[in-house]
Amino acid sequence: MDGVHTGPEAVVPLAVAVDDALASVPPDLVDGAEQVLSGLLASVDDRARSALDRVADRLPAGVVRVPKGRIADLQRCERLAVARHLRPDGRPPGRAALRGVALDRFVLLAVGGSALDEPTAELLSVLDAQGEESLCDQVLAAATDDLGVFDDLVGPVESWRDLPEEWWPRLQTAATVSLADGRVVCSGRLDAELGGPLVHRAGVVVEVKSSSPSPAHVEEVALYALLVGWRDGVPPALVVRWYPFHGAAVMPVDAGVLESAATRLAGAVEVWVELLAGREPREVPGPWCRWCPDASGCPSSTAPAAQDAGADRVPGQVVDGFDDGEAEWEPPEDGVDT
Amino acid sequence: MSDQVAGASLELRSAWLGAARDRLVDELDRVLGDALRLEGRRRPPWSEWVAISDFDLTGRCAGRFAHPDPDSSPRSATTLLTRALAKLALGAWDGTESPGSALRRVLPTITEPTWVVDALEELDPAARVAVQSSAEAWMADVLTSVRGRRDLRWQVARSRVEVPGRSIRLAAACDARLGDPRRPTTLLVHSGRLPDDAHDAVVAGFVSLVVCFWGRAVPERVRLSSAGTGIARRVVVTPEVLDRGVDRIVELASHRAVPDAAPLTPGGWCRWCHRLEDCTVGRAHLEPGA
Ligand code: SF4
Ligand code: SF4
Repeated sequence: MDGVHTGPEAVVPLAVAVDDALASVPPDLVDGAEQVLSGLLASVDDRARSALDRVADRLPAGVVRVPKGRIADLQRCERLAVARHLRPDGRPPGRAALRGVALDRFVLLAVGGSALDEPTAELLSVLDAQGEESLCDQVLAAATDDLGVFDDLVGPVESWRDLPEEWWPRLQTAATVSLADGRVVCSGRLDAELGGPLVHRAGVVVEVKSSSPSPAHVEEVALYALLVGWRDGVPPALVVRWYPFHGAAVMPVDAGVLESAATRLAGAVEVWVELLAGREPREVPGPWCRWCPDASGCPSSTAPAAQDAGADRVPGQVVDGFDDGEAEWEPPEDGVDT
Repeated sequence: MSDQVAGASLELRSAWLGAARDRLVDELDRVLGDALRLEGRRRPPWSEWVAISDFDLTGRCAGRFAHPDPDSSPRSATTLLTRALAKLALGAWDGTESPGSALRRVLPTITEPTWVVDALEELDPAARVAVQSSAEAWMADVLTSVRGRRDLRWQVARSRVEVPGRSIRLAAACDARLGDPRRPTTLLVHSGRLPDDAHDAVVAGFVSLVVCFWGRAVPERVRLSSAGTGIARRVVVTPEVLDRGVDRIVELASHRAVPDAAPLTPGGWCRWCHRLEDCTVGRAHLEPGA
C-alpha cells in the first residue's frame, strides 16, 4: 500500500491530514498488526542468530549494525553498501542531503513555535546547539554559494505548526531493536511521533523527506512501524511520509506492512553479516551508481564518466538535483561497529 | 519497573557498601602502589587527577582511555543541559500532560542548579527550541521505559566521589531513584547502552558504589534501561556485582597510571578516536582490505 498523498497545491496542516486518516483506520487493523509483533521478533531474531552462527569463525568481533540507510543500500547493490558503510570516507553531505538536514531542523522550529524569519541563521543556531559543528560549516558554505538555498523549505513547514498538545508531539525519538543477545542492532531515529501507548491514543510516526516520493521511503516507514511496535508493544496505527512539495502520504499499519518490513530486515541482516565475514559483494547496477563511492572502479557501473557528467557528477558525491532521499548523510553514530 | 522481588536487608546492604569501599582502597594499594597517591595535604592540580566516569566503563580500547583527549569532555554541554531539563520537568510531570507542557511549565521556575539557569540564558531562541525538543524526546523515551511510572525521584546532579588517599575522581549518574537518598532501594540508569549481561553488572556495581559511596547502604537493585528499546532490566546488587564495579575502577586507574602499558584494541571505533593519527594499530585496522 503506497498511501494517500494530500497533494502539493494547498498546505494541508499535518494535524488535519493525520486526524482524517486516523478516523478511517479500522480498529481490527491495529489489533491484527499488534498480534503479529512477537512472532515477527522471534523469527527475525532466529534468522539473525543463524546468520551469525554460519560465519562465526570469520566474523570480526563487535556489534553488527543495520540502520535503515544500510538496509536500503543492501537492497540496491551490495558493493555500494560496503563502499558506503564499511569503508565510509567521511565525505561531508552534498547539497541535497544538506537540504534534508535543514528541513528536519525547520520542522523542529515550527513544532516548537519558533519563527523562521532568518532560516539560515536559525538553522545554524540549532545545529550549533546540537553540537553539529561540521554541519554548521557545510551550511555556511552552501549559503555562501547560494544565499537562499534553504528558503523554499520554510513555507511548507508551516503545516507543522499547532500540532495538538494532547498528541504529545515529539521529534527525533529513537527506536531500536537488539537481536541475537545484542550481537545485531537495528536502530532508527524517527523524525516525529504523535500519540502512542503512553498517551492512550493511536500512535503515528512521521518521516520528513526533502526529496520526491519514492518506493524506498515506504519501506523505511514500514521498518519504523516495526521498530516502534517492538519498542512499545503496540505498533503505530499510521506511518506518514511528509514531503514539503508533495504533502503527506499516509499509510495505515497492518500485519502485512510489519511482515514485509521484518522480512526485509532479516534479509538485510543475513547479507550484511556475510559481507562482514568477507564474502565478495555482488554488483547490481542502477540509478544509484551515480552516487556510489566505488563507481570509478566498478566494472558494472552505469554512472556517467566524470567528464561526461560535469563537475557535479563526481562519483560518490551527492549530485545536486538528483532527487533521492537515500542520498541522506549518515552521521557517525550510525557507523559500522565491528 | 517492578520492585516485587524482596531485596537484601538494610543491614546487609550497609555492610556490603563498607566492604566495597574497603576493597577499593585495598585493591588500589595492591595494584597501584604509590602511583596516584595523594601525599600529605598537597592536592595536585585538577588536570593531574584521574577521572573515571560511567561513560568510561564500557570503552573498548584501554589505550584510548589511557591517553585521554585533553580537548574533549565525555558529554557535550548541550547533552547535559538536555538531560537536566528533562529530569527537572519529569519531577513536575503530572502523569498525563505532554513532555512539552511539563517542560514549559517548569522552565520559568528553574533557579537551581545555577549552571542550568546560566546555560539557558546563553541560548538564542532557536537554540533554546532545539534543546527543549531534545529534552522532550528524552522524557518520552524514559517514560516509555518506566511505563509512565510517577513515584520516581529524578536526579539532576551527577554523583562525584574522590577516592580516599588517591588522586582519582569517580563520577556517575543515576537518572532516578526510589527510596531515601542515603539508602535508596532502586536506582534507574537510562542510557544508549544496549543490554549486555557482563557490562550490565559492571555498570550496576559502579553506579551503586559511586552514588552511595558516602551514604548508608547500596541499593537493592539497579534498573538499566536502553534508549529507544522500551526495555528496562534489573540487576540485583550483591557483593559480586559491587566487586565488578571495583575491579573496573582499579583496571581503568592502572591504565592511567602506566598509560603506555595499556593494550590497544582496534575496531570500527578507531575511526572516531583522537589517537588515530598517531596510532599505527588503529590506522592499520582501518586500511582498506584490513
Ligand atoms: S557503481 Fe553501481 S554496480 Fe558498481 S558498486 Fe556502485 S552501485 Fe554497485
Ligand atoms: S586508534 Fe583504535 S587502537 Fe588506537 S588508541 Fe584509538 S581506539 Fe585504540
